[in-house]
Amino acid sequence: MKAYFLPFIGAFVVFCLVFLALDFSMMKLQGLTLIYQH
Amino acid sequence: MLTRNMKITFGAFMLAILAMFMLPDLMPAVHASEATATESSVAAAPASAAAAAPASAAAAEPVANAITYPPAPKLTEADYPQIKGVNSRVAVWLVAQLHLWFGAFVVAVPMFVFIIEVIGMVTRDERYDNMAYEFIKVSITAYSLTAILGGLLSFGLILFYPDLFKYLALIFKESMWAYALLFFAESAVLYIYYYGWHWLQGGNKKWIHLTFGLLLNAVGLQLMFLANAWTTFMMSPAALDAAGVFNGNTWEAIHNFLWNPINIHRVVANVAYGGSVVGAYAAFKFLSAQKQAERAHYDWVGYNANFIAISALLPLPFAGYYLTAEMYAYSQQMGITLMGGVFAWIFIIQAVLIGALFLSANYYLWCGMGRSEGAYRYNPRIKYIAIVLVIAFLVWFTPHTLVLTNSELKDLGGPYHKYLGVLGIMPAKNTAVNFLLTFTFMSFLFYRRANKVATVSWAAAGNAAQIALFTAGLINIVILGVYHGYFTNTVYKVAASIPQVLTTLVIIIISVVIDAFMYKGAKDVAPLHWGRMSTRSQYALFLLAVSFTWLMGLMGYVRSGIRQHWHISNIFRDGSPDAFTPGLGYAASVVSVGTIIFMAMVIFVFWLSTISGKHVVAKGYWKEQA
Repeated sequence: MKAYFLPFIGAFVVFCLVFLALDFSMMKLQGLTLIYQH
Repeated sequence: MLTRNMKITFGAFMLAILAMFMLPDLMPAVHASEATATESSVAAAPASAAAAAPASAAAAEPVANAITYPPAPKLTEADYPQIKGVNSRVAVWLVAQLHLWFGAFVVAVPMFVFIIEVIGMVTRDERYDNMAYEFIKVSITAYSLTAILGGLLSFGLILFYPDLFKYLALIFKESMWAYALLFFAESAVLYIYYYGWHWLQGGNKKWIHLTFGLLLNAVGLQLMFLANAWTTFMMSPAALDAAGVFNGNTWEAIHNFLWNPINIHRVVANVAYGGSVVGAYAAFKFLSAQKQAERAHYDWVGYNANFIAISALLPLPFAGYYLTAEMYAYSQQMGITLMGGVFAWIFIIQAVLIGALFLSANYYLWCGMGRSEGAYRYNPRIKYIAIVLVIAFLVWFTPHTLVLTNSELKDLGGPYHKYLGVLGIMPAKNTAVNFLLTFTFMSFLFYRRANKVATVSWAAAGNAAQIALFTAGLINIVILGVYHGYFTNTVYKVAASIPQVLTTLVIIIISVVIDAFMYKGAKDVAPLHWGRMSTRSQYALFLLAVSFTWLMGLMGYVRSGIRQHWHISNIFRDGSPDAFTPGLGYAASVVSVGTIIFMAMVIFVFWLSTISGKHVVAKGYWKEQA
């Protein structure tokens, strides 16, 4: 269980950051923000 | 060593994340106001050809002085010759479509034949070389049919649309001449490549043969790009003056607004299509095989063909989105006619066919797991993939508005369904298609792993990392689809589709990298049982080819039909009796008839390849030679 659980948590955090960075940069490159602003 | 590699990989990851945050500040950002201004100016341009003209005319001025082109002719019904009993539009439509289907096939086949030949050379596995030869052999007959249909199309245009043909020939005379000469080059290189296959074997000779393969692809793609320019000029004519008269040069006419988007879309689509047609060929041979060895061979060929088709199918929706976005950018009117007007319902049929493509490709992979003794480890999970695929498929083809009677409209309380209406807009479709792609990739991952056992010490951690990758990625796709799709404005909705697509690509790329390291030096469970495939799986390959053909025909009709009553958008009006958009049912029937004719011709090509290998010894027929 430990062999799966800890790597999963670690990798999940890293990949969440990767996708957050991807969303942030792609939206910003289009002149927009990640969170919708009126 | 392993720890060091993992540290390097982790460090690279963190640097990549940092770079992504920094990227927008390092690059010249496009501000929303600028983007809007640019978009509106581009979009407004083709709405009236006059508005588009000054900028391009100014750019073309230095080279435009040499030739003066006449304005597009104003035609009446009398300018369109008729042949009794022949509907000119349907005749040209069908011939053009058949030419395009065969053309797509013969342009695509040399691309993957070249790659397969390279794989054979690198691995020194002769099976690849034989398979590549078999594919090119099938395409030889198709090549003749492409040329015949191309000739028929030219005659059809000269006979039924002489003024249009003359006008296009005037603008594209140089490229048409180059096209004709390139056709000679294509034929010469193709015949050397095919007939020299067994002659140019081994050592430097193989390199020479590969060079011919590369040359064949270069010429084939050039031919397609030139023909694409004629088509896209009719949609987005370039280098026009204020009166809508062409005053540019050949390059400006070729390099029109939609040329490259079509080029990219057709290259990717052709590979997927070519893969599906050779997959059907393999299925045909598999089903008619008498010996187990033959069945095993064509099962292996079918697997490779399906792999080619899926590999190109995965990026294809993105190329399609790019083309559509460019159509909107060129002309909002054209874009709205395409997806918000009369043609919108064709997109529902398109969605059903694309869904059929994904389901049949996945089904084939699941059946293919039966070749392995180790597949039982993954089989229980297949049903969950199937459930996700079916749900995504249903969302993918849910229409936004329905064709309703007044009473039905009253019962429903409006044009949109209370619950399903929200699934009819693009954010839902984008989310669904990204799920379709991700889970199709997952099927492939399972197939690839079915017969292997990873031997690396970090296999458990690697699996956990892959599950984390898919989980984080799919959550991101859903957040982008739901939050940006339903709680923001249109600009955000469209913009969010880009990180959605990139999320899918990141999942695929990182997963492939992890898998490649994790299964390096992996043990095989048992030898694969090639040929141990159900008959139904082969019909899935047929379904793939038929769906692709029908899809290309329908979407080709839409692409051409959005010009509406114009031969060339906004500058050359269609004056023929057929200058109207036919009903969708009628159009779908014409495309269906075309699909049936094409498939009949393809089966003829397959049959020819079967009889070419037969050799009957007619005893007593020939005179004995002394």
